[in-house]
Amino acid sequence: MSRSDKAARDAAFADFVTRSTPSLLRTAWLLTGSHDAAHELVQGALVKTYVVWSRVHEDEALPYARRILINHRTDTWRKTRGEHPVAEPPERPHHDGTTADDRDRVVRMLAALPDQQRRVVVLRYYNDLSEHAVADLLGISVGSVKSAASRGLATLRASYPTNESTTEGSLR
Amino acid sequence: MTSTFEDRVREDLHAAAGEVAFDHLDPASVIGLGRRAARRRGLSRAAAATAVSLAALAVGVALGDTAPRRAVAPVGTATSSTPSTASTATARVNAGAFGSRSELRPAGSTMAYTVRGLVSDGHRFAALENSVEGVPRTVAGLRLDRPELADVAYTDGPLAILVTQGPVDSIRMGSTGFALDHLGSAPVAGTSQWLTVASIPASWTKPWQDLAWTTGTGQRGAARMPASFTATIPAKGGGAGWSPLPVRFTARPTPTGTALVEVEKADSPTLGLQHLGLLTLDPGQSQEFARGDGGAYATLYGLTRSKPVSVAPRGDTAARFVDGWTFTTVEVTGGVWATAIQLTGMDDSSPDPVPSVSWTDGTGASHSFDLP
Repeated sequence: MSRSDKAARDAAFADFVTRSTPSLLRTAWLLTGSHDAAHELVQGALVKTYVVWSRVHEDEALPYARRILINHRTDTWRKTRGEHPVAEPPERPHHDGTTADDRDRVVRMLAALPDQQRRVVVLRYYNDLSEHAVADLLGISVGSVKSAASRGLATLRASYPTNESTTEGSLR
Repeated sequence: MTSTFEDRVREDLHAAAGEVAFDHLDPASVIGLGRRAARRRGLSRAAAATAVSLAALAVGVALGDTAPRRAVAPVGTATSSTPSTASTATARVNAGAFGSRSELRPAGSTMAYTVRGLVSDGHRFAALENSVEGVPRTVAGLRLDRPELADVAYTDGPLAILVTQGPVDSIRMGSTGFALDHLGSAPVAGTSQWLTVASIPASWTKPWQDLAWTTGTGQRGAARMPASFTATIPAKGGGAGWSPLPVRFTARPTPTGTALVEVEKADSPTLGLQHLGLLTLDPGQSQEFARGDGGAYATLYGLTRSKPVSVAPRGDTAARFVDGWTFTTVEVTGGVWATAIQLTGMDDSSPDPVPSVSWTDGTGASHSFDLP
């Protein structure tokens, strides 16, 4: 590869980093509940993405990086013999206030979910991926996705205050 | 207005994540780390490929020589066979060069290589080298007196490599298979032989098969390739986050009947492979197991002469594998099965968490192997 080719490749990757980082960081934060862990996770995923960048099609880059992020995290779980859900809530967002506190509640509840359920809930309801897309990304069956989503939502639902009208909706 | 609980969770997740402020990630810093990672990956993969390639040939040398020289270390014992003497191989690449270098630029490829001669353990090899970010690396080595054996190395993708008596015009996967692209040949200086490379499509997942080649003068020949199989260790249920684990077993041809299988793990089917180790199973030897990747011993893998229908790793405590394990097995070469076992629910608190593994074959016979 010539020097100009490398420069063009790096420029395209730098642009991708700039565009994709906010989304990846937020996904990572929901998965980890920690700013530092999210930064570390996203940086690791982007570094891995750079290594295979020449084989990634432009419009597939973000899903590809997200796949690496999820697998990077899975790999970390394997190497650390599994992650145990923490009793303590994740770090609070930088912005304080009543609204943020309310909204952060779901993230605190999310941290208490088993890992697989947490990943499925984040991918389904934050990244808005279809059940098939989540199954493909995690390498599990669609049935497993449905099961994990159902269980995750049931746990979250049980933790939500019961006097809110939105808790009356049925789980699909 | 009513909304489902799913909608509420979706709204809250988006709202919570949207309000979080993150520090900027510097693209230049990521690119710098990525370059170093690419360099490490290239060097690691090349070292593994070279070790595998030379080890495959070294095994043949050892068993054919009156004074065996093995590139392997002794490990555990097996109760259903004679004690094992083979395990993960570490080929020596303490080779001396001979001849001058030849440049090899396959047509249509962006990769450039160097071909040169190497002498290792008294045998002459044709070595294929290239450079990643300015760092030279040896991609593969083929013994010059074993032209019937080809190999596969990984550079920007799988690459078929073979040695012939002249430049090659075309290579096919098998006599009736498809022609490979990005073909290139270069002379091995100091010999009358040529080294040829050709790209194998990355999507090609069938077992490697013989290469059929033709020279410009019409000479034809075939060379045996490694047999490669991809399998997936099933996920284990429960909430511990375990996922299916893709693995690949590649059996290198050896002239003596020794099974030599490289084990690789893929974090994802599309993200490349990590070399885990190399197992050998000599004629007369019935089984061989070794620990897998990482300090956590996430996997065990092994070779057996009959197909395991069940496996049972024994932990050092009764509750060691409280979450169980899963495994997969494939027949990688005639009468040799490669097995990978994924362990779950294990911690690293013990220095010897997996003393042994037992397995049962289709006849109901039980076998046991003591891990080192």
